[in-house]
Amino acid sequence: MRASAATRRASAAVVLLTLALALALEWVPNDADQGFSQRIFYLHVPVALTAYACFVTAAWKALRLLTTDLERYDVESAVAVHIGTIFGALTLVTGSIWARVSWGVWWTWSENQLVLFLVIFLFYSAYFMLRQSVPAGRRQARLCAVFALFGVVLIPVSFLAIRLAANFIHPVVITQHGPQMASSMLLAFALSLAGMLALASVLYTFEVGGKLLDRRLRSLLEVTA
Amino acid sequence: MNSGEQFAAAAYLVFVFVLLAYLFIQSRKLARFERQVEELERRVT
Repeated sequence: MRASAATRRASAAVVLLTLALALALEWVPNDADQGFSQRIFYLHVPVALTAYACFVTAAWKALRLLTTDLERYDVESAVAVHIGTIFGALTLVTGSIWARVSWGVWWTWSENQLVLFLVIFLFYSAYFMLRQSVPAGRRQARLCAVFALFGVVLIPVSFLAIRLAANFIHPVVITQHGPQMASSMLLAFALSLAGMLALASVLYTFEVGGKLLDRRLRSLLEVTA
Repeated sequence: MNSGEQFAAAAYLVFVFVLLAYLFIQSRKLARFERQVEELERRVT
């Protein structure tokens, strides 16, 4: 990845997120039911969707590793899981804050969507335990790749859980009939989602570059020792 | 500030804090790379 492309994406992320934040906090109207606190939606949902995107990327890179055996894909898959786990943690924390103000509780076990997202988060957290417990090398890379591929199966289940549930309190704003929100809200949401994806993409690019550089530096230090 | 505004502000602040923490960790890593490159330069020259 050329530095200029990464810089352009970083600039896009800053502009999009700043714009989205300004629109979400100042421009969009208050929700009729939840009032001001509904504005957490413009953070919480894009962060959750970005976490899903990272886990899908990790699975794709894992598949590439298993088919090509190139070491680079192991690093890319691991970094995608890492970024996805950070966004996953943010989803849980922002969702918990939103739940507290909307439902009066920090967490409820009766919601399939919440529990399934927690399961996904814990599953991908276990990825790092697996990575640390196996010595670095081809075996570690392939085991982690299979793990990342298994995890991605949970994502459609989590995504559809709320739509399949008969009774729920977790809101659904994007249905099969399209987005159920005002156009100003949709614009703020779209900008926030684009900004979050751009941000994750920039973090991913820099972290992959850093890890590959780290490996090269370590091998050079070993050779020159 | 009412409670809705306080909770919304808290959610956005958590996001900013996590992002800053991530950038701090990455900057520490970058500093380590600089030290390693200096070490390599010293060995080569």
